[in-house]
Amino acid sequence: MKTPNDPLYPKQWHYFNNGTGSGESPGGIDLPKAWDMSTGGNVVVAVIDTGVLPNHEDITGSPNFIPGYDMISDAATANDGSGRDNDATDAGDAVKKGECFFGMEPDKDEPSSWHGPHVAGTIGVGKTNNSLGVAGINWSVKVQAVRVLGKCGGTTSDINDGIRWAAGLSVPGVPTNPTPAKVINMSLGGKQPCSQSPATQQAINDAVNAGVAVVVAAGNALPSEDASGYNPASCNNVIIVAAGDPQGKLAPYSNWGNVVEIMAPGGWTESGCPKPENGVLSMVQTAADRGNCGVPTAYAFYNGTSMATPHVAGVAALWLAQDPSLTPKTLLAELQKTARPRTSTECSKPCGAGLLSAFRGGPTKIDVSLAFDPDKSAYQLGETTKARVSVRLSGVPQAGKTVQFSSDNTSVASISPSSAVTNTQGQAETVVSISGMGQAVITAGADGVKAQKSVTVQKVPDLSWFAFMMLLASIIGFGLLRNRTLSV
Amino acid sequence: MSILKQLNLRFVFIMLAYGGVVFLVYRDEVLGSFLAPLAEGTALITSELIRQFGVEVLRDGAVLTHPNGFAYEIAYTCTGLLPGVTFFVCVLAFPGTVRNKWSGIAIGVPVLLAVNYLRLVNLFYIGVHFPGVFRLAHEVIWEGLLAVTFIGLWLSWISWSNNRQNDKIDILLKKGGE
Repeated sequence: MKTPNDPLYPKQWHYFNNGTGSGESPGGIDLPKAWDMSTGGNVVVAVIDTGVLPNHEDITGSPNFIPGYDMISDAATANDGSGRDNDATDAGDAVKKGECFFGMEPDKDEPSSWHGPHVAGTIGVGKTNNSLGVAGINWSVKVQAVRVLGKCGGTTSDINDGIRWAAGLSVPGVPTNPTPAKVINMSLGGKQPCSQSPATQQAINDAVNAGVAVVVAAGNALPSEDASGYNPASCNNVIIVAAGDPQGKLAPYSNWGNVVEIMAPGGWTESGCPKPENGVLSMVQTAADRGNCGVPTAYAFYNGTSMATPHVAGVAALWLAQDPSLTPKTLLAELQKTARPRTSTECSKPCGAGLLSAFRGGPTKIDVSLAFDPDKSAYQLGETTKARVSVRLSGVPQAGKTVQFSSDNTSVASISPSSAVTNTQGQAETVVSISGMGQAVITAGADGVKAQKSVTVQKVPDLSWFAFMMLLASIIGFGLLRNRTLSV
Repeated sequence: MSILKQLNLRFVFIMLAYGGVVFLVYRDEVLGSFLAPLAEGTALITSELIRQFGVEVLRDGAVLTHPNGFAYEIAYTCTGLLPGVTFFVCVLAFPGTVRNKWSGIAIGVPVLLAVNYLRLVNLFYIGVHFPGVFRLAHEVIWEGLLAVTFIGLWLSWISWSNNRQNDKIDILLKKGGE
């Protein structure tokens, strides 16, 4: 199973294979399985947000970072001394109480969010598998920052222009994007229905008609609300993403509703750092003023549908790298088809088709085969046999896979140990003990792929009485017939 | 002299061949379903016999159950088939006239089956009233009694068959002498 060597990757539970075993997470999106097929390719993803940090230690020199645009018209909002320009660096969006206009006014002084870098880091703007920092979803993606949010937020017109520019469409006064995106990530929104922003809907429609998939956040609220009241979450032609917690359940803050298409990990650290490991880990300039929660200061655990959205955008980029023929429509269909359905307990409110899964299957699917040694058509009480599993990927033995064994009838056949790790030949084994009459089905599973084989236990008559009688009769007969011959 | 002309070796050879066949085919996957009706029939007769002794019994297929909860299943290995067939083979394998052999089989096999029914009824009674000794009775006492019955019947037949043959020879000799 391919996993990156970035030292903070083990804390990025949101990427893990979905499951409860070692190295798995019930809220994970199966990236290691997907990475076994492909670690990505040259697909442009536009992050319409606060910008990026080109000098971040995990981004400097990254081929995954390509030029974007600062679409913020107002210099004060941009916080970089100018209006629109071609520098999409996140200049910070820290605000003091009383600095913003009505409606965007913070309750207290707020440090910079580094929201855009965090989102871009999840998609893969930094270098992945470089023994530094965090991993991203698509290891070779091209992330293009389109800066629309700054101090006190942003304007609808800048956002709409940002959408058009990212899609390669013309925006008055702005040079055309030389590297139009195939995916747009918008981890942003406001509390008003899209119907009240026809210009935003038009920009989205134009981008989608240009072949660009637009992925947007469902929005956050406590208590959570129906995303149909949010913009652009309630717009048509977008992929709307709700947030899941590490257990794969709808996060308490995540908006929901019938408009939601899919759920992705958004984390839930509750507040502060009580459970930092439950947040989505990505890159920021500094988290010192927010609390590092046990990771280096250039990285932070965040929660939100903003963090869930880039998971979908990143996976979309991963798939588009393998299959460029995917359109926004077929991409959504594939995302929903591959998603892991949620129960009403996991999503008490509508959360779309389920939890995002990056693993599409395909010809390089893991193959798990199960054999018994010895293999008999029928076993006897008290016997044992070895259940041997072979795990292969495209015929290549897979070492280090955790195989889970189970028996559907433990009164007939019990298993010990119940899990084992494959060796360099891709094999793992356990012992099946026969303890009752009847039949049991032994199941072995690795990476969600299962193999089954049944054990039949049959009555074998006790022939000791018969053997004794035969011996006795033979001895007696032999003695009685001694020296007698057949007359001819 | 051919080995098979030595009667003792011929007898042992037949017994070994028969034993080999039994060890090969006398198993659930070969005979289990084929002999299931025999097991049910045996259970039916056994349940009727148990009732004759005034003991309550419920039958479900080959499973006999007492209202107090005790139950056993009559498997095909409990039908008396194997002792009966083995006696049949032992008699056929031992030298004797055809008439004597069939006479021995006609008496010996029903006696063995009758002893087996006695065993089943008795084991049910023991299971109901003395469950603590059921295993001992099942695996030791009745196995031994069945073996003693088997050997006793067979030796009796050999003795009877030999005497009858000797009587015939005596008569012939006497006739020849006259």
